[in-house]
Amino acid sequence: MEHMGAEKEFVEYCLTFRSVTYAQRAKRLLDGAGIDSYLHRSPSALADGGCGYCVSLRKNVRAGVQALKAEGVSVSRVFGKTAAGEYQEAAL
Amino acid sequence: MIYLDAGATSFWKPEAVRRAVSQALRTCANPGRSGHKPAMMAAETVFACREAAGKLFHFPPERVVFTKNCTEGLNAAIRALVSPGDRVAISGFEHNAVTRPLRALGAEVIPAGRRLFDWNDTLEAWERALIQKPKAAVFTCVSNVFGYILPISEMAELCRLHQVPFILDAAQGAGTMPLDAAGLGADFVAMPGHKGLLGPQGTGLLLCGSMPEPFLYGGTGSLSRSQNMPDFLPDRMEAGTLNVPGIAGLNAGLRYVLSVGPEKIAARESREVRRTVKGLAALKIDCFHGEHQAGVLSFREGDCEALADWLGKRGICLRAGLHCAPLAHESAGTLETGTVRVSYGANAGPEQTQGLLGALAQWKSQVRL
Repeated sequence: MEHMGAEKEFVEYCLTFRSVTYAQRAKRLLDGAGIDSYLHRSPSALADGGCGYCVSLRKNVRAGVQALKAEGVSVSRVFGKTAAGEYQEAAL
Repeated sequence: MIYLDAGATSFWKPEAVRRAVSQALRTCANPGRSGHKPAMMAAETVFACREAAGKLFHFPPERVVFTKNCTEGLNAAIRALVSPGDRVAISGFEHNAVTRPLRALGAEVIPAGRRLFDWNDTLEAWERALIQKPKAAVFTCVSNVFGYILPISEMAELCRLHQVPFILDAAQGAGTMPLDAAGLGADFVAMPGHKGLLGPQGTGLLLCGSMPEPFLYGGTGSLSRSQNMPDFLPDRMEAGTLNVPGIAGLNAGLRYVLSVGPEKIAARESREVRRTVKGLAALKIDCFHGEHQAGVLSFREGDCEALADWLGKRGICLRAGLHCAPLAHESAGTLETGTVRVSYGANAGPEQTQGLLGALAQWKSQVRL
């Protein structure tokens, strides 16, 4: 569990991407950086373009996003998932 | 059978290519559409192929677009850079896949560099063409008819110097010569998947340094709410379901090329071309050869179609005619006769050359009789 930006504690973080290709690229880069993650379809609440894929990780989210930025992979948005299963946008 | 028509398509493929196609048919669904296992398996296969292409050509995987062949990629690239009536510089050895789309757009074409195997002539003419401020430039890595390897690094450098956006046609170079697409600074590099990259027919790649305009519109699995095509690659250029089995095979082909190395494949092919040149000289058959030659060789011996047909009936597969490149023939002075083309593949070996030369010796003796 990681404490992010505001005051919330989240059980997991969800990074959303424009398409499956970018999510895959992100997953590869996170793997390379030794950060555990998994790729899946975006939950409805996060798929603001209508469809999408995201990469979720339980920890090291800040380092993960920085690693992606360093490789030029832009994350669309970052959401935190609460223990109740709700998603809230997280500021990095 | 002796297959010497790899310039049209590679016939020999690594066993891994066949296995990958078969496995994709058994395990892959539609990539980028769903989250279930077969869909994700397809997405993984497709992305792995983008990565392999990115590694071989030093290019970001998300800018690797799948096409059905090199021609489709060239059409997309030309439409991205050229508007009706624009002036366009091209080499003197371009294929119809370049010249026909330009003609259809009503472009004013400047063919530059007509002398075979002569880098000085090519580069001097290229610079003269670029000084005329064309809107874009298109050039091939290797003449598909004569195997002439153009000085692409220098041509690219001149394009950058004169600020002319350019397209590289890698139909005959991809997989058989080192190609640093990012380093060249090309706006687009188009290539087939089924020739030197050893994938199945129906596959191709377009490496996009610039943003192309789609000519196919439809579902991409991304931004579905929007009625506009995505403004990012590869989705912008990949409407509809991808050829996943083909891409799986292409991925295996790319990995074979990466493991062996394009330089080694090129050396193997060039060695056989040199042997063929010697053998043809001994048979007193005129051929077109020179420095900077890839694994492709053209020669003339009577009626080229009759000879190719005669050889084909004896299990020697090669191509005769104009090879869809009348401009290259015009440059070499063979437009009226055409040529017989020998094009070696990744499995090039002396037994192929010996088989060809033996058959040609028989042909010559029959003609004499």
